[in-house]
Amino acid sequence: MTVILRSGRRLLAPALLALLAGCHRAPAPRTRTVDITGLAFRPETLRVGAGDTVVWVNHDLVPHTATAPGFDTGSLARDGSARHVVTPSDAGGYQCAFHPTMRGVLLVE
Amino acid sequence: MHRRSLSLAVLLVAGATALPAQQQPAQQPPDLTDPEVAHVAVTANTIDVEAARFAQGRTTNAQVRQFARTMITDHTAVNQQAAALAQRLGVTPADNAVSRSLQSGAAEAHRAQQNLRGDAFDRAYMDREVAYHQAVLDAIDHVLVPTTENADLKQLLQDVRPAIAAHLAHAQQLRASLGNATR
Repeated sequence: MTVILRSGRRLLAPALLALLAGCHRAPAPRTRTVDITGLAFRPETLRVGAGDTVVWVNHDLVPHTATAPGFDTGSLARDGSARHVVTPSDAGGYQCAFHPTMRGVLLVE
Repeated sequence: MHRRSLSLAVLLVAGATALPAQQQPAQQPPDLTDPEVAHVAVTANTIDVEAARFAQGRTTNAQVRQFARTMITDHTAVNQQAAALAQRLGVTPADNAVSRSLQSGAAEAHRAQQNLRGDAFDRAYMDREVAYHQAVLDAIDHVLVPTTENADLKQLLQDVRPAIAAHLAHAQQLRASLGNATR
């Protein structure tokens, strides 16, 4: 089957389908950073996509973790960092294992 | 002279001991030297590490043990930073009345806890930690930061403050969960 465009250009159906498919490619995974400062996760709530990478960076004097049922950065010393590739099951709260008043949230799209 | 200016500092930290809290009129910021400030910072951290080590060996409560572990981790980390800074600045920590007051308060608290077990120990330890961290926070705000001259030392104290505030909040939550002792 051939499709004739308004410009007069002719496209075979498979080519047209490939063109349309290219318009709906999934966005490339992103890397998002959570800064740990003043004993808080900043931003406290982070909106990410499944497949994105979250990097936690500790700027505090004291060690911290980012801990949830599905991930655990382990102890991060000052200037330490750790990364985690987000899955849909990571949606929800996490906290520092050393400082239970420190809490963050991942909203997974 | 330092004598009058240290009295406020001593009374602020003495509030964490068995001594009764006293009302004080507003005063000028006390005049501790930077070496004295460094000594107070190291002393305050060391005291809480030692109290936490004792608590780890005595408590059977998992949350109290976790709190004590955090005190050891955090106050050790802060002391490492303070020691590194003092070395970099060529500052030798100098003993002073505030440090001595902290130490006598700690000794008194240890004597009070030594013969306690179970829930009674947990409540006594957490009561002490609440009062101690409140006193340290007050000392940072009203004594140490105002009196410190060196910008890096002042920044270290300001950087430590959120950790002390978080310790206080954690201690208050944990203490509340332990309930009241029956007499």
